[in-house]
Amino acid sequence: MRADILVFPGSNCDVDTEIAVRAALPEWEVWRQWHDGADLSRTDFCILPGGFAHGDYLRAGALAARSPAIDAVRRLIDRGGLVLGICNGFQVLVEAGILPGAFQANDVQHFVCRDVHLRVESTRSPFLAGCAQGEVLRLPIAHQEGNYRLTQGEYQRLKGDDRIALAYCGPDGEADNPNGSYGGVAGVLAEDGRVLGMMPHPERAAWPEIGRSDGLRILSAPLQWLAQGGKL
Amino acid sequence: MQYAEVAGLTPAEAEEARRRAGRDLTPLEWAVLGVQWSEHCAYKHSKALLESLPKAGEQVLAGPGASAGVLDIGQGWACAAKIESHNHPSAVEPLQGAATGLGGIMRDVLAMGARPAAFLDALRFGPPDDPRSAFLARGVVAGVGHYGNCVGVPTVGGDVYYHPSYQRNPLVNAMCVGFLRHGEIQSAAAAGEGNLFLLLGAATGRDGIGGAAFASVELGADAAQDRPRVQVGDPFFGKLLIEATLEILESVGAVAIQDLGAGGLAGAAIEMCDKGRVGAEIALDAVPLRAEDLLPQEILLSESQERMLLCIEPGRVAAAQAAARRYGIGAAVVGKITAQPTMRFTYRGECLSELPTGLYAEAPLRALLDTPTAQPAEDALENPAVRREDLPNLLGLPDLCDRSPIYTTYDQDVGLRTVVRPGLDAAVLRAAPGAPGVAVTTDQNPRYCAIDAGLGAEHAVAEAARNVLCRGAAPIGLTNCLNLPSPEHPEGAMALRDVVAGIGNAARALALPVTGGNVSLYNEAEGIAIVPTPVIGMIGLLREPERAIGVTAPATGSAVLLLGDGAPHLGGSVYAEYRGLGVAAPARPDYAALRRMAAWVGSASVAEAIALLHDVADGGLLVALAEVAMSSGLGLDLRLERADALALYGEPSAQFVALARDAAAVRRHAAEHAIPCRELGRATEDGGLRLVLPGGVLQYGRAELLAAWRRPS
Repeated sequence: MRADILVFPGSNCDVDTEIAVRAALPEWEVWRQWHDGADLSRTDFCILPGGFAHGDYLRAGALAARSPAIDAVRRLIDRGGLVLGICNGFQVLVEAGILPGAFQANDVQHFVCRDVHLRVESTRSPFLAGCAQGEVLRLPIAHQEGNYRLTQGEYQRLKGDDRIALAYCGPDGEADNPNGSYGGVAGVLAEDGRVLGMMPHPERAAWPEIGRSDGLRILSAPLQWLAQGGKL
Repeated sequence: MQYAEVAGLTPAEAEEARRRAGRDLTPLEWAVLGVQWSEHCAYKHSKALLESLPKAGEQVLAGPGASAGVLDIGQGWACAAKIESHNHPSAVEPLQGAATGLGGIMRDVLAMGARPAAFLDALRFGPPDDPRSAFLARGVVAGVGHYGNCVGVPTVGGDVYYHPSYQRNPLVNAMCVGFLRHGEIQSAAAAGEGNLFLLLGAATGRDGIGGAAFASVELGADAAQDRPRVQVGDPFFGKLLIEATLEILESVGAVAIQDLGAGGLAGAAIEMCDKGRVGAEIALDAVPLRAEDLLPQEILLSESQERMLLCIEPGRVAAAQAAARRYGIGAAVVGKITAQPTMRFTYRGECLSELPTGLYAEAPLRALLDTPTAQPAEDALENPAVRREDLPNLLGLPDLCDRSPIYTTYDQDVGLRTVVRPGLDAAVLRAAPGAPGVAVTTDQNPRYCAIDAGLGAEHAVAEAARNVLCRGAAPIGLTNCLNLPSPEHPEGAMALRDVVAGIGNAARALALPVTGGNVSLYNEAEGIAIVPTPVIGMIGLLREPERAIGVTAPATGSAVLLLGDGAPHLGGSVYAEYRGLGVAAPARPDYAALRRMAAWVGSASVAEAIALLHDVADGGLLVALAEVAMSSGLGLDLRLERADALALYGEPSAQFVALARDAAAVRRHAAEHAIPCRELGRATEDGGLRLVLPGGVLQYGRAELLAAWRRPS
């Protein structure tokens, strides 16, 4: 099996993600691919990492979303591959129209970096199949434009289709929203559940030796999913 | 005459330049010389003094004179670190001033061949209720976040103080820490006749011209007019520059490398040639420009950001350019090394200037004014009984309140090297998972320095050492940033002498090498001089950073121990200022006590015995206890022997509060190292402080402490 991390100019979590994915999927081949000429024809799992692709000029993710590498991502999605967009990668997927919604600046009007708690809203995706519905995870966020916008109708539709993957909460599951996202949404799925966009950084919490391990569960989940009959 | 004067040179310096050249200089030469001989580049007032600082240490792989100091941290790994100021630019354009301050120090660490791994920011502002100071503080913090977050280097620590003397002249000191393998250390000495200068990075524009000269005079009331001298940073481009530079160094190889900072291309080329005792011919028309009509002099002196200069063998240029192209950044051959130590600047086939490298590089030093050593006023301080409201009042003071509104706007984690995030004491970084690491901090206390600059400098070193000790790390070296007023006034000259002597005393007493740093003089605005501000950046060694103190949380029921000594003093304390007790100098740091702590921490696995260690510093014992309670989420139920201000709010120089995992082991280790150890009580679940004092009980709930500490910013 093979995982590929797409690297745009300005991506700055690509190496972190590579290190974490190697730890999470020890038997897999893991590659980082520069956006220009990226070939995803042999990959099973593509990750769009965090950072500031193309400097976030124009809008976060807007330029990267229109690059040829995204066509390769679309082809991977068409053949049933797994795609995970983390932070800036989530913004790119939204700008590309692969995931719904839009982003604006955090309601607090500045960058926020801290641990947050997340309630697992759906276990349908291969990335959250190892979690229990309603379980609370702890992961760090680090973003300036993480205020995820949906119309009420869109939110209801996504909810109905079981496409809300993660929602911000407090340590005991109570309401807590670090950036003003609509409905506290922190992660959403594409229709078939194989594409997950999420603002928190699982690669920064793949390290049990320093007490941060919930991200490892998300990054290693494809293993369990495949073992339980998931097909790529 | 007039060109020399415009360039900021004194008549005597101009005469010396003419004498060395054997002729009058051209306008272009005067302009270059003015920058090279500025205080900012030439350290005219401080160079002789800085020679007195200790530099040797078993871990030192590169010291002062290199782009950044490099320390051995074991297993083939090394840590590069340096701190630098960007004060004047931040006074007129806070966001870009701070952003380019980070960029500049990051490129110094990159020039050693290290991957930049973390920033720390030491910030000094006027009172937060002053609108101008609040504006500057907001802009500076936004600038640090703007650059660090985007360039992909976490900001993991720093310190902030407020004092009226910084109102018009804020201080922005940025420290960068990087990691590298021993074999990857780069040189800045150009060498090899026929080797080429490759200018890597951004195209050159008209920004930041004269920045070094601007930093070498006091700020005037019309400082806003100096805004064009402030450079503009582009962290996106900076990220590409990091990747391209490291790839070229690793896969292509360079003879020497340096960043373009003060003095632009001229400054970098002259310094690199001087270090290698060679010369160069620089073709100014080969420099890629982003403004078409730049004059040769502007091309030479522009301080456009995100540029590096590499000395490279001709056969490797094509490979280096190919690597740069992949990242979409420029790499132009702009010069050639000559064996004869002469700097030749050509433009469109014409030689504009030819002068010896050493003429630019060796500025005549200036003698410091003779001054008597300061004899600070000594009030006899009374030792009043404390009041219940003192603790919440102190916690809400600008210098002591919660810093999370600042550091949570910084990415603290990118790069995966952050093991302990900012908050208390020092942050912990690892070179890579499983590799050795360091504890890092910046420190200086303006209250102490305002009373006695030299003693304040000693305490800055002591405090920084305590902070890395709190992580279980033994201090192994320091970098310093001396922010001072004009050395041309007796008070400024005296402050410069005193702080260098103070750092030297402390560093020698703790057997620590000073691996380099930066001197920023002329920090005066509208006639008000800043408090002498010697900021210390400390590196502590952690062979197993994943086992540093603070990685795992302390448990309810832990014994609360008071470790160490260094008798508390009220002189210069927060409490003395708050109660208006008078002005007196703090006691000298107890170096012997700090050395005993360092010997213990460096020899044993303290993290197995201690879950949390926090030094007693600004605000004294009760403030330290409140900080322990708030950060751990635990309550502390304690019995204290005294209830007077000196005991509860005095500031000792070598005392620590510990939450023990294994109290018996802590007592045993402490006894072995002759460290006093006293049990104060237990950690409880309720989250507040309960203090049984001789005269009664003082009790503060967690909510009350947090409300006081998290004052609205």
